[in-house]
Amino acid sequence: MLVLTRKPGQTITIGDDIKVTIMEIKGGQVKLGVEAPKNIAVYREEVYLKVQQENVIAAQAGVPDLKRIQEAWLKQKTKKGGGDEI
Amino acid sequence: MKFETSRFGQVDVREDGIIHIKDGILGFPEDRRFCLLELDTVGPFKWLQSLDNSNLAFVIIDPRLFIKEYAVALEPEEAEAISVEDPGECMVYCIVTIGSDPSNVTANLAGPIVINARTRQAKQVVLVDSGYSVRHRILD
Repeated sequence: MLVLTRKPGQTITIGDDIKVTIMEIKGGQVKLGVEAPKNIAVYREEVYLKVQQENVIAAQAGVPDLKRIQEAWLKQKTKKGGGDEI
Repeated sequence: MKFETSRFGQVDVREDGIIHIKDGILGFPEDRRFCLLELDTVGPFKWLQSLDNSNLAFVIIDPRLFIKEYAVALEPEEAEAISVEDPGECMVYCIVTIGSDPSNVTANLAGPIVINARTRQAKQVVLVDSGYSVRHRILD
């Protein structure tokens, strides 16, 4: 990993068109400004990773799993009196 | 067009039934072509089957069946990526995770799949500040 030291107001550039600027450092938090082309998605890593991890787990579902939850869904719907929301 | 799938055998998908997912589903960047399958399904669940990888498929559900006010705010560049002209042309689905415990069935509300029904372009959108969970329980 490349480690760089920067002060507030200073910037690093990644490639030709991505810039990360240190906006502010306060109370143990760093505020970053990211300039990147529109087609580059920028996420906070934890949200991005959570969604990605959930996708990987969800991809393991098989046909029997769905059969099982369909029955549970229908049962729940019946219990709630016909699922008027549907 | 015919495609092989590991779960459903061969499926026949019309050209206009192919959904092109921009940037792929997170974690599966190679898979760009998908289709919706309602084979063998009762109730609100559908399959989102990859046409680039026979093994890859997700169970999906319309989140408004259990959260009426569920809404996705697309960033302008996200709307542009799937050529949205009118929000009404978008379908929104959430991926369902089925745990080994029968009641542990959750929907990923923080990473919905938005499909432009007109252009058949789609995108998995990450809702960063929405407060929506990646594991919202949908069964009691």
